[in-house]
Formats: sequence, structure tokens, C-alpha cells
Amino acid sequence: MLRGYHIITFSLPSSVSAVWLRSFWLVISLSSGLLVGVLSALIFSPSWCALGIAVALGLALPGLLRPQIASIPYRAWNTLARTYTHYAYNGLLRIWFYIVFVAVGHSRASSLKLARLLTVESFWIPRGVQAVRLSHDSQHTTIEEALHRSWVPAFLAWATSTRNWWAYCLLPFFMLLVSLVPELEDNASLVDIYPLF
Amino acid sequence: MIRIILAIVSSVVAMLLSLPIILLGMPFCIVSILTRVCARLLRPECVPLNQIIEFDPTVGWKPKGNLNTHYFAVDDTVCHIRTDSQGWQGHIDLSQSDVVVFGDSFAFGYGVNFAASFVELNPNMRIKAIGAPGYNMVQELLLLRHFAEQLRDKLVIWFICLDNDLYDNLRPNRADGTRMPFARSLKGEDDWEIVTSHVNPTKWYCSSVDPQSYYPMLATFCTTSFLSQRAFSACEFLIRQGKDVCIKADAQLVIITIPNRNQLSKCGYDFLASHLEDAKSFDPDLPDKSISEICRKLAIVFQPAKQYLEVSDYKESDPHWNERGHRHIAELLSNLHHSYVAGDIKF
Repeated sequence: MLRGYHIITFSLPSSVSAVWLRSFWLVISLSSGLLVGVLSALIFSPSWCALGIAVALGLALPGLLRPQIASIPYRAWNTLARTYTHYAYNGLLRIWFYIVFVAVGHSRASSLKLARLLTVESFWIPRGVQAVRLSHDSQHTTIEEALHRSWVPAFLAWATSTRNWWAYCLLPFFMLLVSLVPELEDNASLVDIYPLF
Repeated sequence: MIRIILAIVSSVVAMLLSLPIILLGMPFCIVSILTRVCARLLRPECVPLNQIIEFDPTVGWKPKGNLNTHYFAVDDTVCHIRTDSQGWQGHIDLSQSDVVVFGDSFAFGYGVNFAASFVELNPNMRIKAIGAPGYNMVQELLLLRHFAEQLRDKLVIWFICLDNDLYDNLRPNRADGTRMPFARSLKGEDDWEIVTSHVNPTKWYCSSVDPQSYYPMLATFCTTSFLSQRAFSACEFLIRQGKDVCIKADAQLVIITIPNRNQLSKCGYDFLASHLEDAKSFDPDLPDKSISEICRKLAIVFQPAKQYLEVSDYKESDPHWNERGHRHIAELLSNLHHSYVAGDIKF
């Protein structure tokens, strides 16, 4: 599975292997067969649903034997999916800003100072809490990395600890937005990518 | 209370307005999820990379021996790997090889199946690749010294990966804390020493490393700066050491630089330059020019792989070569070997 914090995904990996091509072709074949079967059963008679099985088998076999034939449809589908996520993300962001943000940001007590005031009015995190050791594999990671892996618990913990209960209502919308965050694949991320022993 | 009510109402309104967008995306979401489930069922048994790498007291880590398994590459592709009894890629022994390649993950063939790596593509030329993901030039030099006695009359290729080698040569650890040998400048002198005393299986947390720093550092090495001068000075020291090993072993050394894909296109140049505050002296070919000058001073044959590679030779979500890139590298090595056999490969 792709790494990152996408709970729901809309696109597929850009880098294509035979396994992904076969899987994609299988899904499309079965979906097409299901669609044809259901439509045939509705339009003609239930016995016509066997047509859907024939369509599914007829489409699936070539792709399973020669996955390269799925390469162009795969890329075309992925291009459509990425185009959708691009426009959907922008659309949802506008809805967020013009409806939710305006409503919540203009509430009576709002000055967007959402964190609980500390006595010294500082939001700095003490140095000692930056390293968080994962007990099961002794990996050294930072709070940022932990957040990237599972932001939902962190978000809920923040809302609870700061008593911003209203933020709970925004969680479904945030999850949808996060799912549509455009994946940056123009430059392959050159990070320390090898998790060694 | 008012804010809670506003939040609920606005969320409901927003979700209702988003409904058409969500419905339009349902086919993509369903296909994506089902494809991922099928891929998980169809892919062969895989292990994560950290289960095919083990600690090594000399160089920090190396691949495990006698592997014949699949691992996940960083872009979620499944790749097949085979290693010999000592953990180096391939089934032929070093003594049986015509060409020996020292390097990092590029030499390891990371990201493609073993059968598609440059090591296996030319049946007329026996190549032995000594490399592992994450190696720097210091580790490769230590391996060069270790195998020196077996390099007689062989063509020795040393891959210098411009992605990270110049930077990693100077670091005692990786971003995940794994300790690695490094080059340290001797105080007050323009000379260097190799440090291995800190290498052990425990993590090194004495220096923090930003795993996102590779592109900014590569961009810096494409400019004339104190950092780049220091990096190339260390590089020259290591290459000189390598040359000495090969001279004593009576082997022919060739240096090949491996560019990052962003050094191969205009938009890649712009991407790298965007990491600099002042891009006036930015030259994407500066690393090749500097290493070329080093090799000229040391009378070593130098070949930039940039002349054989293009952007389409790299994987899309991974900085390594794809199968096409490995074919081009196999072609490069074949040409070098032909020249070596014909006696034409001289500085």
C-alpha cells in the first residue's frame, strides 16, 4: 500500500508493476461483467446475468496472461483519477473556506487562538519531547513522523485537551480533504529511504 | 456552545454540498481499494528491506547471504533479489567475474528484479556487483580494500552516486541512526582520515540528520561553496585511496558518476535550484566537472553516466533506475569492457 496518511485513496501508484496491472485489469473486468450482468438481468431477464460472467471472463483472461495490455488503460484511469482529485480537492477547499471556516471562525469567542493559553503564552514544545521511541522495534522517530502516520488520534487528542469540542464535527470533512490531497510525484522524494536493520 | 452548533450546521451544509463531488469520486475510490486488495493477494511473498540487510562490523551493514526472495521497494513495487554466500548480488563468484562494480543501491540493483538489473543483462560479460542500499564512498572503499587481492586483471567500476554520496561521506550516521564509516578532515590540514571506531549495531543519536536534506545538499554541491569544496576534497581523498588499492591489485579503475534524475532536465534544474537562496552559481554539471578534474589529476578514467541516461530511465516514485535505465548502464559497462579488453581504456 502507498505510505502516508491517506485513509481513502482515489488514485493508484504511478510506478506500475505486473502485479498492479493484473489487479487493475481484474477489477475492471469484474466490474464490467457485474455491470453488464445487472443491466442484462434488468432489461431482459434474470437468466441473462450469465452474460455478465462471460464478459468478465472474456475481459479478465487476456489481462491476467499479458498484463502489459492493461498499461494504457491503467495510466488513462490514473490520469482521470488524479484530475478528479485535483479539482475535487480545490472544490472542497472552497467549500471549507467559504462555509465551515467562515462559520467557525466568526463565532463569538473566536480570535483563532485555539490552543489553551499557557502562563507564559508560549507555544514552543520543550526539546525533550521531540524524540518518541517506538517500543516494538526501537525506531527513533519524531512527533512529526508519528503524526504523519496517524493524524486522526492526534487531532482528536488536541481537540479534547484544548476543549475545542466543536472540532469533532469537522473530522469527516478533514478526512475527505486529506484523502484528496494531491500526491507530489513530480520529483521522486529523495529522503533517507532505506529502513535498514 | 455557539461554536459547536455553528460547527455542526456548517459541517452538515458542507457535506451536503460536497455530495456530488463525493459521488463522482466513488468509482475511483472503489477501483483503487479493490485494486489494492487484489494486488496484496496476487503479489509474491515479500519481506521488508530491513530483513534482507544485516549488521556488518567493517562497513556497518551488508545484504544477507544466500538470498532468493522478494522485497518491497520504496515505491511499493515488488522486486526479486538473489545474493551469493557473502551477500553480494548475483550467483557468480568474484573470482569468476570480468567486471567488478562497487557502489550503493544502484550497484545493488534496487528497485528492479534481479534478472532485469545491469548485472544480468549481458550474458557475454560476467559482472559482480558489490553494493548495498545506503552505502557511501567510504564503505565502498573499505570493500575495495577487503577484496583487493581478488581484483587482479579485472575492470573495477566505482559508482559515485551524486544523490547522496558526497554528503554521506561526511556523516557518521544515517537519518535513522544507523552508524556508518565516514571521512573526517584532519585538523588544520587539507587531508582526511576514515573513521570506523563508532560502528556497532546500536543507533547513533549524537548528531541529528534531516532526512529531507538530500536535495538541498545536492543543490549546494552544484554551486561553488565552502560545503561543496569540503565534499569534493573528501571525495578526492577517497578516490585517491581507491586508485592506490587498484594499482597494487593490478586492476583497472574507472569512475562512473550516477546523476540524480533532476540533473537531466530543465525542470529538474529548476527544482534543484529552488532549494538555494542564491542560485547564481548553480551548475547542475558541477559535480561531474569537479570529479572529472579529480580523476584527471589522479590519472583515472572517468565516465559520467549522464551521457547514457535520461529522465525516462528512472522510476517515477523512486530515485533509482527502472529497467530501461539498467539496460543503458549495461550498455555503458559493455562498451567500457570492450575498450578494456582491446587495451583502449587508458587515461
